[in-house]
Amino acid sequence: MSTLPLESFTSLMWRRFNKHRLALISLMILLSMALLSLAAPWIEAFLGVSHKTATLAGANLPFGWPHILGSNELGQDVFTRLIYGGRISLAVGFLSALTSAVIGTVIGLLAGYFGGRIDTMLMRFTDAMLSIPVLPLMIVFAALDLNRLFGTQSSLRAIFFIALGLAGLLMCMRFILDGAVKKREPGYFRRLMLDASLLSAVFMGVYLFLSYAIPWKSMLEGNFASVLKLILIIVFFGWMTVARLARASTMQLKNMEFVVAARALGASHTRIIMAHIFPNILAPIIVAASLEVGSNILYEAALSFLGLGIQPPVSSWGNMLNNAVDYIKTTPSLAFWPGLFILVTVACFNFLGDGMRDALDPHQVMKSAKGK
Amino acid sequence: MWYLAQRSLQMLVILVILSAALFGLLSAMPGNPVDLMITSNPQVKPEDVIRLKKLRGLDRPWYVQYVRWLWGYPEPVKPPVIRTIDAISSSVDLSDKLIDPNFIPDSDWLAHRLSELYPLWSKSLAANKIKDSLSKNDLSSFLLNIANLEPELQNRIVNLIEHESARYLKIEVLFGARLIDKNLMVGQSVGPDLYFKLTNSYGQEKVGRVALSQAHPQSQRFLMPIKTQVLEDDSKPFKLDLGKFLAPNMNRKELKFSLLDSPGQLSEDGFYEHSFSQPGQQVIKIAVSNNQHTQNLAFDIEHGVIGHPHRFNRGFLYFFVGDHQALGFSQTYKRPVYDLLFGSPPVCGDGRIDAGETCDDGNLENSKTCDANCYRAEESFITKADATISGYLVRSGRIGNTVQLMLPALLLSLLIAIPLGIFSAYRQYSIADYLINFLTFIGISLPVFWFGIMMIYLFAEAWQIFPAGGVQTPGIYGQGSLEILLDRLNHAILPTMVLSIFYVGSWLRYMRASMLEVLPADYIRTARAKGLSERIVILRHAFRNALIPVVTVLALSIPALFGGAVLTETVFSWPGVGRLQYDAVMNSDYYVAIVVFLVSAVLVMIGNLLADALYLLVDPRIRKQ
Repeated sequence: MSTLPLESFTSLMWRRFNKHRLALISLMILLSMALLSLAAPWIEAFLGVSHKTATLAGANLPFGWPHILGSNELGQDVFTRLIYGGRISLAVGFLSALTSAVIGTVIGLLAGYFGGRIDTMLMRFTDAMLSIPVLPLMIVFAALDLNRLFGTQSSLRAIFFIALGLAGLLMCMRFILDGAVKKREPGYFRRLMLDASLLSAVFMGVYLFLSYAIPWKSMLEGNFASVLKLILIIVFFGWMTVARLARASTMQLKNMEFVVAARALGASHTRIIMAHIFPNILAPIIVAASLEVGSNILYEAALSFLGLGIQPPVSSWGNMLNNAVDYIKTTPSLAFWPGLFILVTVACFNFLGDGMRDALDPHQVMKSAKGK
Repeated sequence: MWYLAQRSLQMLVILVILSAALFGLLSAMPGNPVDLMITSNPQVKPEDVIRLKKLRGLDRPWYVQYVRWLWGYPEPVKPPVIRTIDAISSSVDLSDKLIDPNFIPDSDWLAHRLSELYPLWSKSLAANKIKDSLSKNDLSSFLLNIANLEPELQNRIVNLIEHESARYLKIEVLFGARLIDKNLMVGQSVGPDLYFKLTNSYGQEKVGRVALSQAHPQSQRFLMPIKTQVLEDDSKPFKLDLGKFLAPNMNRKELKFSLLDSPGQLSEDGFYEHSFSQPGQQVIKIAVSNNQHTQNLAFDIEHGVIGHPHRFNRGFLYFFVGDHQALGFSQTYKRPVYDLLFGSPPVCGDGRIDAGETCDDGNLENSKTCDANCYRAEESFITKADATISGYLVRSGRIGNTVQLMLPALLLSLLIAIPLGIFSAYRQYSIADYLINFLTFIGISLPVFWFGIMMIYLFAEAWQIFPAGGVQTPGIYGQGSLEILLDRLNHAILPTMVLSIFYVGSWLRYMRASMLEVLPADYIRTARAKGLSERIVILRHAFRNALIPVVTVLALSIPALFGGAVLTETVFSWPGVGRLQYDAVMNSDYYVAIVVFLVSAVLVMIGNLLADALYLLVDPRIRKQ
């Protein structure tokens, strides 16, 4: 053991992060914004206004007390709507970034570590997803009726059978292709059957889980459904960046000495992935995820602005803008504030991600320092 | 060459899978075209819905629909539906039974009623909005505004409107009955129902029916009413054998049939013949008599598509052999999809009002004018500008409009981003670099729709420099070509500015990062050591090499240019592809949605190919391999 006073990893990171002043300011702004949205009910009670009930008397009020930022065309208080909307926007941005980071990491790790056909398939898929214009497809998905897809047993069953049929087709194709390319080894057919039964067991499990464990009927109604749908959509289109990052880092790491040593010592694949590779690829993933929160908030706002995301009695920054367009002549401030909130939040997340990159990803810093 | 062929084969497979998947997705969306018809017209009955779905093939599973869309299908022949209308005799007060669902009261009447019900409305804060919707005769937004005030008030106004709507209905009695102040008086009663013809203020006709409360003696009935008769062979003129309607104890030979005020021919022994020239509804009136009695009857015949029996509706694949009609017909815009995407906007009436304002810019509420007379009624009026460039611009369809917005925006953003990116990388860590970096971050965080709204407020509302939206001033067709050009330019400036600022952020980051990669390279040092001027080092050695990754990204972003402007086009009500796609998805306009998606998918693939080709072009290292 060295006797030098060693600085812990976290404090080193924190010191590096502190150097990025904009990121620090952004962090503070974001924290205060989160606190403000968490305290929304109390602030509402303190101000004595309402973000939901419509009153004719208080419509389109200018700045003042108790309506700090005025009120909208229905007499709802703009400021409390903003902080309530912040709850939704931040939650959607954060949860979707987290979920897509988890999914992307798993996929990227598996693809990078095992390589081969899985890798090619996954990466073809991510390539395809990356080259598609996202927003139009998001619109299609947002317009989908989840109730029609999952709400009834028969539609679920249809999806299940389609998936099963596709898997069977893939198996057959594999059998034929393998038969053509290489001679069938003794245990080949048994292994194929094993794979097939495993695959069908997984499908069965997923089907049973989807049809019985999740109360679709109650979940697919009301505003929770729209939030859930938004998160699902954003995750569906957002996991590729992280997957590619994780795959690239894993590919680099898996041939390094410490991994080879671990393998030589007889460590299992699970152990190598979990104990040796995963901690080492965490840094770029965290950076990518924090950058993704910002863009996810933008997507949420865009979809809500188009009227596809969060539906009006509940407020989000996007749908507040949607209503405000009609009143741009008379009360432009209605359109100004939600957009400013979006801009500030997204910019803060971007600066934060930049600062975290500087702190966590020393390669980048070295590279840019060399350029100086 | 082999590579290209392989790639295009791949493209084809992907396209087929993609379009099938899209069809599946679209059919999982809430509301197909027929369902939408129900929501817009509450009078449609459930059996009609089943019939319509069958006619359009919507009752089939989605993959059958997909194959039919792709390959085509025999044109559905809508069988005529015949309802008999029995003459009856009774007296019924109709005044409380009539409601015209299409009635829209005028603004004066509404204002009057509103001030009666709610004396303070002109002083209320929402009065402006209400007045606005009143002046536009926008009933739905008027009612919405009222509902925001008080739901009860809305109910009362709706009741008033329903009551009022009956006044505008014109009632035409059928056979022998008399109408005295909304009272149907008929001398002799034979059936349980009372029928009459209604015409509303839009000229729409409907046969109304009132069920009578007491049973009537079935004294002299010659014909029995049946519900429908399906005509199998549509190539022959429509033939109705009245003998089929005979009551059980009647003999055809004893009766005399005569036609009352109807087109078509009726033979003495009860065969009615009529050649329909267009789909529609037809009421034929027939009198049947024997020696003592006369019975009047009406048949309400509804006839759909009159098609050739063996006509084949060509599917999407026929588009590649040059059949424009194969792209289908847009339900929302009432235009062929090909025209919508590539053709000229429709012109209304005398050409001074382009229908683009009422039917082709997403203003779906006014599509009635579209149906009536706008569909390319006076094509000759745009030929004035045809031969010139501006004529070409004016006639560009949705795709043309999008390209006119996108290309300048892309060029402008590149013109800004590339020099700034080079500068910022060259002077890394200078104050200018920090400033540019900060602004770039703001640029990529900017919600483009909000920025657009703010620009509209500043430039169109506050300072009134540019128009707030649209692609050209309505009625510009009659003008000279220079005026048209300037007008379109004037309309394009704001959206182009907004879009290019949106793009500048990401391009600048790419350019800067790429330059930073290149600048510390050895060949730059060599170039400097040779004594070349700094300008040549940066522009010829560094910039050219830095351009390689940027060019690739540029080619890959072509599809995003095509479809990614949904938000900008929405904010500036720019009739482009992005908004068309959005409208099509929201209105279940299957044909439009899928064609637009396929076009963008093809563009994605072309972009990929182009990226490869450009890579070969700009990077000699790859060419050598």
